[in-house]
Amino acid sequence: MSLATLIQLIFQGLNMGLIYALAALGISLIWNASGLFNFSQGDLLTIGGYIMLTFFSFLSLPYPVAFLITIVIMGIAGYLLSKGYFYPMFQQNFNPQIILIGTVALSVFIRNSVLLTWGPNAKTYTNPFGSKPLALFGVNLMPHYFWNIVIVAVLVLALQMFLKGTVIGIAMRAVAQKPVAASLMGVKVGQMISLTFLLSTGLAAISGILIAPIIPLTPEMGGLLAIKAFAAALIGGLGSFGGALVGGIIIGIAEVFFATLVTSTYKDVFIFAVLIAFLMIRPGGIFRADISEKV
Amino acid sequence: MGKIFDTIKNNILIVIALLLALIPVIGVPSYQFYIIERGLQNAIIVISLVILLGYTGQLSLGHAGLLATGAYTYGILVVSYNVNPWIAFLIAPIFTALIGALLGIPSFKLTGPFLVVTTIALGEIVRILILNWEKLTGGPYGLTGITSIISNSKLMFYLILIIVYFISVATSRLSVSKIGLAFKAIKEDEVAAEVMGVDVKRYKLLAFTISSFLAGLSGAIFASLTGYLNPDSFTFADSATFLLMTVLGGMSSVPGAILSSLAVTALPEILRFMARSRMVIYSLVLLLIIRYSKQLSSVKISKFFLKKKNKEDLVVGGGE
Amino acid sequence: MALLETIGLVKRFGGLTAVDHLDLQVNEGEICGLIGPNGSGKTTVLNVITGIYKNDGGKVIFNGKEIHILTPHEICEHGIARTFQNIRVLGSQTVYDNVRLGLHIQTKSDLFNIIFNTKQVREENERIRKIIEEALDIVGLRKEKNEITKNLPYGKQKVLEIARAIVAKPKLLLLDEPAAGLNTAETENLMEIVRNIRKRGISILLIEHEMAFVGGLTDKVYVINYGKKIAEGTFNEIKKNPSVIQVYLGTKGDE
Ligand SMILES: Nc1ncnc2c1ncn2[C@@H]1O[C@H](COP(=O)(O)OP(=O)(O)O)[C@@H](O)[C@H]1O
Ligand SMILES: [Mg+2]
Repeated sequence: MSLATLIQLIFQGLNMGLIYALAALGISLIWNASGLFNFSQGDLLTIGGYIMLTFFSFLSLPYPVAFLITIVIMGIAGYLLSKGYFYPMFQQNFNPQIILIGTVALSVFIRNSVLLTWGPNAKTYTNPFGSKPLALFGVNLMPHYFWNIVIVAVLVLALQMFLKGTVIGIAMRAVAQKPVAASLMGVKVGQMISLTFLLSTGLAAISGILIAPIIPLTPEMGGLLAIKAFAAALIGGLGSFGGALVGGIIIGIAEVFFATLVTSTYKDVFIFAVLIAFLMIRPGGIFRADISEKV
Repeated sequence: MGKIFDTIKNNILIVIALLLALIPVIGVPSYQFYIIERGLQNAIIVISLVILLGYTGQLSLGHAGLLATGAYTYGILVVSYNVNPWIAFLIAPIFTALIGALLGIPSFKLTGPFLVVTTIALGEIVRILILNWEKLTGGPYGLTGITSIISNSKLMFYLILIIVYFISVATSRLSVSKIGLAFKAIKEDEVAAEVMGVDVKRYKLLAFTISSFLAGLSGAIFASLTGYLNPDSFTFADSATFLLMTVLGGMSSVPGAILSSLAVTALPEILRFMARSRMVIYSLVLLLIIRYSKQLSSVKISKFFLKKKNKEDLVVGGGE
Repeated sequence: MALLETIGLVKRFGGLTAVDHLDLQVNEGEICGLIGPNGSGKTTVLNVITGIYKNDGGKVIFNGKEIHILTPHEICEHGIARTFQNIRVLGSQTVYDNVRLGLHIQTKSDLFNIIFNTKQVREENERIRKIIEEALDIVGLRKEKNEITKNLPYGKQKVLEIARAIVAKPKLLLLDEPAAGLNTAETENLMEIVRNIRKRGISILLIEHEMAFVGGLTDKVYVINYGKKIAEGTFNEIKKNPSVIQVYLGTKGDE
């Protein structure tokens, strides 16, 4: 393999990987805050992509404006979803398995709603970053490769600053780490969980927006993407911020390399097999190993 | 006393079976007839989840993959290898049980979302293999011309009904047996189960194997009913629907599983007048059922059966 | 030869040595006590003996066999049953079914017989019913037989766990703080139950903080601290042992 192809593949893989990472981050945030594994994250990503399509492509709003509107809508939707649907179930001490199945039902619901609203055909829109590759280091790289990296980097830093440096962020982390203590100290646990959902659906929406130049939108796209995001979260270490990023990038790059060097037909099978093998060998993931129970 | 409750319990299944047995006699329009058949076929896979989730507490979102394994095994044997349909009908669930046993291995180490993600991944692997193994499966074009086990549609209906009835009785017996208790102990407290002598790995494997056998059986019936197979029938959304049927049926009740399978299978058809929006309404209904499952449980049919079943459990222990 | 013997048993959690080269012996027919301050490693000893944790050194020999290489269910089959410090009953099952779980290894019905509800299954159900009722009589839970376990008060759940353990017909029963959380009357009753169990030829190793309980029941007591044995002997002997008084009785101050 030439150096040029190598660089090309790394950029491609990194791009997909960062998108998986964002979605995985959303999964980890909710897991930390509430112990719920959100199986609808992939479909939240899908609907984010479609809302972006509507504002940017159909209503011809400028890209940044459409971007913001989409995130705001999705964030609010996530907040309401928690307030109206999931949090009441936590409060009423539902069997956690039932709540988990609730996220599965949500996934089916979103998929059908997208199908009804936007139809079954694949949708694309003009790449806002331009579709003419840049020739750098003798390699042809798409402009959105760079943009995606910059956007995700800024986002991750901002999120870190928010979680570590603001009162709300610190309260959210307190709820995630010691819910009882946090509530005794006056933190509104329900509110914090709902804010976590807001962040998480916002992140899903951004993945849905950033993925558009890479793969076309379809109502079912969330299915496969979700498993990649799950894989990213689990391989990195469920609940770990850095783990989601590392996990996402590993998956993205592994996938692109397998597709190019071996076969693209079975790239998903490869990733799933890696995931299963990884979980069997190190169920806690890279960054958080302890899921055992004290007797 | 035990005998009496035993009879009542069996009677509930018999009543359901007898009512269903009337259907070919009264003559239902062929499409509705087909939907009821599909409902019964779904009941088998839902009962398989009752054993796995309701009894043993292992959540699988890969059952569509097992259904596909059973369906394609039957279809391929019948279409490409000219195997006698009855023999194919026997091989399909056995082969699926072997595949499903593999699905059980991760459960030795993994629980909760970790295991669920593994089952999703395995289900997707099956689907992708079917999609790409074109020579064998017809790939995206599907597998056509699958002959039914029985060509007479009424006889086919009765065959399915008898199978469902037998499985229901067997599952109810399993539930109150040593094996059922070991399953429930694993669900509630694996450490306690193991310390009391339950070989947890072996029993988990058994639960996955039994469950997969039934899923494969359901798949073979599916192939036989539709005559045509396509990878789109075996997606994550289908696995999710089976799971939702199981929850609606009360998770660990066999009669509940049958009724909820029939109801949920018919629901999109009942909502047919709403044309395109019916699938949205349908999934919304499922969401709401989950959200209000606690409140609903006081009136829910499934609960009725669960209460019965609990009493029954006690009585097998010997009434005073 | 002792029924149960641990030789140089070691268990570590990361940097912490929870059990440190421990030698214990429980002879046939004996009731042995295992005492020590909180966090001294008592529960960990039981967890290693029953195979829940793998040991990091030493041996556990039961009935002449090395059992530290076995899994918990195999150890159960060899004749060791136990209760837990934090009760582990099946809350949503009936009292009857909880005891029935203890009969798991003695129930022979297989899938085929179960599905066809053969005579073998029906006879076996009848046979185990008698055993369960007898065990419920021993711990005084006959009346609560059909109740859902989580609805029982704490004390009754604790003795239910004992009933579940004894139907397994163990040669050795391990009890982890059986009297903790019980009131005086319940504790008295429990002592009676334990004596009763010994009469049935079951040897017992028990962990307990309640000194009257330990003194009233045990033939021999081991005292451990930081996972190390610091004394052994009859209750009256170890009561006078200065190092025991210092690390254990002294700090407790209630003897
Ligand atoms: N699963 C575990 N992981 C890590 N440390 C443990 C674990 N179980 C016990 N410990 C530690 O081992 C020591 C002994 O604990 P334990 O055996 O429960 O004490 P005891 O029963 O005497 O109160 C304690 O310091 C405890 O924190
Ligand atoms: Mg202890």
